[in-house]
Amino acid sequence: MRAHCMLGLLACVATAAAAQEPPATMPATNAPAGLTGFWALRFDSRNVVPAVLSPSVTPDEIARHLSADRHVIRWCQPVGMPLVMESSAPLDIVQGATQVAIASQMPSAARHIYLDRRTPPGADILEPTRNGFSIGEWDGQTLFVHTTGFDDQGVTHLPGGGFRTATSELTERYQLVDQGRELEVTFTWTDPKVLQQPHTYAFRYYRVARDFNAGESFCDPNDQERSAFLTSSPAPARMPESR
Amino acid sequence: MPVHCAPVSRSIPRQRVILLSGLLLGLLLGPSLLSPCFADSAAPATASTAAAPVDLSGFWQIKVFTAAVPRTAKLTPRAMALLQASAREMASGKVIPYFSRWCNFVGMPFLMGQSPPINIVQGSDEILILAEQNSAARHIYLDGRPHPAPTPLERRTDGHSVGHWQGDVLVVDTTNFSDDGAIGIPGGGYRTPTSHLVERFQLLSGGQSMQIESTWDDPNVFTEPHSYTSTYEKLPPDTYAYEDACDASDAAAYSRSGGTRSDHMP
Repeated sequence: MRAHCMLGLLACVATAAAAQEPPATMPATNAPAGLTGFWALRFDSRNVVPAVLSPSVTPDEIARHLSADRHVIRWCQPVGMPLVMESSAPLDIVQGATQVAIASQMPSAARHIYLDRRTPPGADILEPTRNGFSIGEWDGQTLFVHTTGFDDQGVTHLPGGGFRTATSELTERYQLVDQGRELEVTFTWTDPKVLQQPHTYAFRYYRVARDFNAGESFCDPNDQERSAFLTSSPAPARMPESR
Repeated sequence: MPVHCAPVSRSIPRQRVILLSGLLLGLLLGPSLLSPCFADSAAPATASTAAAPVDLSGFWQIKVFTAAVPRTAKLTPRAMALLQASAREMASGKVIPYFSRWCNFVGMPFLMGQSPPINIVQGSDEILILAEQNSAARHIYLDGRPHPAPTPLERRTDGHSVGHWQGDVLVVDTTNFSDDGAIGIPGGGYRTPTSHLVERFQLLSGGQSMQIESTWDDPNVFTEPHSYTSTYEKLPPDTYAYEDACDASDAAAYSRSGGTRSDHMP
């Protein structure tokens, strides 16, 4: 067994074949295994169809959301769902006994998928977030994840069109394919304010070689070069810095 | 035999990655341009039930903030001078650290020591430590891998962590730190690219509390290893994660801060 590399702008140079080590131990759990690892999108990963938007969604509203998305990027704010699942760097999925965590290199909170509860906290105490509140349940070898409790902050753009709002709901289906080399994730968004019908698309992630180390996209909104690249105006209220 | 690849984090200036991915919303720039190495081998089809000695998973609340750690660190003259300079800046009214004003990732050791709980998710060969504050996840690799070479592109605010079990104690060794983010170390000193951290995680009280002994060494900062101990309480199983919402564009929030200071204060 060995690892190989994809050629792109960044060529991976395989200097030798690597013996794939056997899997390490897992915490005691009845859940199927195999999601743990780094997963990357590839040129052929996306199966996205155009979303059918509600007639009430105006071009101005779409433009406002895109402008807000650009603001989020400019200021290094957490992007949230669903962009966090589109990271160009591999996602790190760690499958624990009671939770599956998904960490991205993007500026974003990690996703917490709780496997040990069946309902979200009550609306009176649940604080909406960019990633929402996710509950997962195994059905055989498939992990179903239902997410509610979104806010309208972060990058809200949905693949295929539309945007995330506080009334959005997301159902995901995680399924290993090709003997665990690939992970198919099907996303279905519903939102009566934005989508005329459920919007479904799928991403196929490819398992990254085991010795991959997570990077870090350190983002500083006071980086004037970056600011100038993203906008024509410098950062406001910049003060003399001691750094 | 190892395979040498060029993962994104090592090969693209970090700000360009988020810049490009965010600017184009991941739609125009295909991830194929940034491909890492992919695994040929199949993943395990089922979970092994042979567990690690203990499961650290859960939400953990620190009992005493690390800001209260006694200032016992033995600092080099240069480190002492930087600390005093930072203290003078604070005394002059620059009370907001740079990382706080600009919503930078806080990194280690700040993310382990603040009031919001940390969330530990223990997987088969990796442990994730997730914090509410603006930070990258901590990845603790348990599969025996070495640290990468300490090149500038391999530095992170959390460093690179590898762990192994010594009985019921998880020993975590971390190197490859950057000097970005909140660099102050409890008890004195600060994180630099030459810092080295060893932590010992141990469950106590039947798993209801956790103790972490942290020992830092750094020839540029400490004249001898600097250690302190933190204790955490396990939170109820229905605890859930919040998200930080730091907004650096809110200039009004910082208009009376008097400017930011360097981050050498713990």
